[in-house]
Amino acid sequence: MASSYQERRLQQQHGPETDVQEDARDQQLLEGFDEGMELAPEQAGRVAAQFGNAALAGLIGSQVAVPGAAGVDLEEEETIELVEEVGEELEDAHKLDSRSYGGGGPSAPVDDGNSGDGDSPWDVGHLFGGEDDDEDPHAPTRTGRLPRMPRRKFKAPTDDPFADGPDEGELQAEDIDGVDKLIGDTQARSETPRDGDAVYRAVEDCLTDPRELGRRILEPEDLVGRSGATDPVGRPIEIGRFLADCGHRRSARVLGRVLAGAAGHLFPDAGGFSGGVARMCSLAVCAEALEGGRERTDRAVAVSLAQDTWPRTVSMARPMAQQGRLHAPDVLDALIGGRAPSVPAHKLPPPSVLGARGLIQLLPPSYVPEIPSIDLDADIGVVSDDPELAELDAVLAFFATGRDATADAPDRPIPQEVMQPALHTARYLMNAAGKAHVEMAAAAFAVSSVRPGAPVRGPLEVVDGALARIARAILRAGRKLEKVVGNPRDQTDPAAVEAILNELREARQRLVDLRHWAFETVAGALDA
Amino acid sequence: MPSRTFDPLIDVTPADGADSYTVDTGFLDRVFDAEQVLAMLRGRPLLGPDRVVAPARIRFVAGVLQELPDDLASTDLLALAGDFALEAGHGEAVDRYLRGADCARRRADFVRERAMHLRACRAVARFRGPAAATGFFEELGAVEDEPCPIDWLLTLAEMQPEHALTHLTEALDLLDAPHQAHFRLTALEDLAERLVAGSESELALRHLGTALELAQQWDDPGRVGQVHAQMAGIHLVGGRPDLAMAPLQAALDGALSDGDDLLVVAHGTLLCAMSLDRKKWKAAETCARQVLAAAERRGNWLGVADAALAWSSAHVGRQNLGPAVAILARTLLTLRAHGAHAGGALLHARLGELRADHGAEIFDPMLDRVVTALRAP
Repeated sequence: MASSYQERRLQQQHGPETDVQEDARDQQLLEGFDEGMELAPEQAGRVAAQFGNAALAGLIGSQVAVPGAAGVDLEEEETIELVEEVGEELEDAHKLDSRSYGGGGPSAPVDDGNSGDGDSPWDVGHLFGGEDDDEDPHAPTRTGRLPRMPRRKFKAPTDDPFADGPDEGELQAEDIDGVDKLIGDTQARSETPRDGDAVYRAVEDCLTDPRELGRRILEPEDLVGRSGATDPVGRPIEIGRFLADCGHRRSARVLGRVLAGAAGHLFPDAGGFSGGVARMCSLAVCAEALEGGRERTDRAVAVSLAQDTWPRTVSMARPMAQQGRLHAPDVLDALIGGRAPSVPAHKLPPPSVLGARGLIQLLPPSYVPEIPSIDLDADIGVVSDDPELAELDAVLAFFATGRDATADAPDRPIPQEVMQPALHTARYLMNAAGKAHVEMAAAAFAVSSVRPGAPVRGPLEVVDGALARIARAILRAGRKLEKVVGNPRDQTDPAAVEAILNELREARQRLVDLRHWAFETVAGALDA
Repeated sequence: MPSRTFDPLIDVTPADGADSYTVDTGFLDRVFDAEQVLAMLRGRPLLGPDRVVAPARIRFVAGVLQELPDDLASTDLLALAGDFALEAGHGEAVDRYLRGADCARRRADFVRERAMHLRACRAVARFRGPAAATGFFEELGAVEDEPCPIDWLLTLAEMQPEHALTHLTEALDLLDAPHQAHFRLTALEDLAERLVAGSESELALRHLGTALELAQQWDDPGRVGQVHAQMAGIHLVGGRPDLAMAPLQAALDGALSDGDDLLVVAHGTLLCAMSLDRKKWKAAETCARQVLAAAERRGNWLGVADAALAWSSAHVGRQNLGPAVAILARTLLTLRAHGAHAGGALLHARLGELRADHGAEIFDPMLDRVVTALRAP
């Protein structure tokens, strides 16, 4: 692992633009890796940033571990410079290397072990002990993701009854124009002040063009494949689904469930397609009204329908992650094409619970792993009290696993597999912290799309700093856990290991709490 | 420490003419009355007529407690006020329970304090999700020989949704006192909701049947309608619209008798669709007109558009194209006048559908006649 890195470094040294000072500094850093993968505290701080990037890179599929300053609030300017320099040099090295690690090119296959020539020493997997997973096809990759499975290819059926073709049921221009001539055309949505249940306007975005709201003949097939927030049938269904899952009032949840699950019964032949759409939209308004909260609820519902924000945010964050400059506020700025409105930290908006639930609905399910307990003697099997049975067990164990019972001595080194669950979890946790940058940016972007000018940058700035601190804490704990591997068992205090695990647990809890707070506060900007 | 939030139900001014330095007949009468009212509040569930008058009773007792502070009475009153808010889904419940816990602590009534804290935790979990209440819940912790088993089980059900069925079932076994009927009814509804989520509709309907009996027994049409609506929802989602009609009709009747326009629109819209599907034109028309009036009062213009569509569909079903077009055109112009263009677009689309269906040669003269009549001075 380190040797491949050295090779690349050597190749770099032969390059015409190599800076001797930088090389010396990096070589010093490199030596740290050679010595049992240990990093000095300040070095660890410097490389901490990349873990968020590695997580994001894994998240967005490029599976790149490129160093940079993403997500970590490094205090010393020179530290940031160093990380950036090292990142640039590694990129140069990648260019020399025949296996591309990113930068927009096709991704290299992930090798979770330490044997490949192209292994990056910056990888979380190595720092947190990823070496023993080589044989496990289901083990997470160094970026914390499960290994990529072969993609299934769907073959489109040749006799698909719903395949695109001329739609004979669609209202023709003449149908609407004929009405227009007599009664005038439908105007754009009015922005006049609203009162009563008219304040619940989230469903109206799909009700603009009369031609899309009617069908010449209502066929059962007209209701197939109606999904998404831009479809006149799909939008009320999405509203119903959201309120059924997240509504506070039982009556709103009940009506939401009917909307989401019984649309077919709301389209009687006699009423035509437009009648069914009207019914569903009216019920969507009723469901919102039953939930109460007027504009606050309506904005929360509207934000839950901003379904394109996650893919757009990921595509915007991808190059930033590859450059190692991933920060939630910067991703947001890039998304809205300018600096987002902000407020000072002491004037952050009050939380919005329903809005936060709407935002969470937009994102893929998140998992923040629990920190496992570690039994340092887990490598010793249960020994029977009966000496003969114990001897028999030892023989069987030897033949079955090749493990020598005499290796269970008190001063045996703690094997990697004992610590592996905790190391894996630390890696997952780091990835979750990295992913949180993108999640928060997506949430803020969704809020901005519903309410342009909402002060969403303030919460993101707070989140950015907090995530950096959490990442540093995880990194520190991970390094300590890594040092435990190989230590003599009799010189390792279980209480000390438990204390390290508690540090991880605390970091985990802070991450969970931060996500909770951030979603509610970002959503609060809807009403600020 | 932040100042306490003003609670309009509890933080009321003392009665007119109250003098904190005078103990006169009026004062004694008020104290006597407050004792009676508080006993009533304690002894009856928040169901039926008692639920309707509960806010006035709570305010009266709270007013007397301004003159004669009493921590025991305050704890009970705040608990009742919290229960009232929790049943209605209002966030004030948390603050009321916490204030009740403060009163209990001042009296060194630690069992009551724990009960209040558990209820506050339950309210937080219900309104903000179990994750938000985790810290609070862990602080409360499990104790041996739990002094407040009902509150503990109901809180557990909110905190551990995956085990909610078990906890709610255990709580229901303990909720047998008459004054706890509203807790029992809510627990039955919660249980049914969890069962529906787990696709156990039949069992859910059985529990809702019990809840319905309870609501009827305490003469609470609002809760009866609510339970009927839940039953109808289960039938509709389960693909049994025929079975949904009777409970929907009952729910609509309840909403009409309560004068609850929002529920009239919600239940009436569903019922109208089913009547149209079964070609019950008269029933559909009646229902649509009820919905139209209620939706107009609510300012629900999409509801107005839908009701007009349903009403006109009933005419189309009876081959009366003229009235159908007239209803649509008239409502369309009305909605445009209100700036409700989304509803207007739906009616516009329906007119287009009818034109496509009947042909321009029949439809256009009819619409022309209607528009001329509508625009006539």
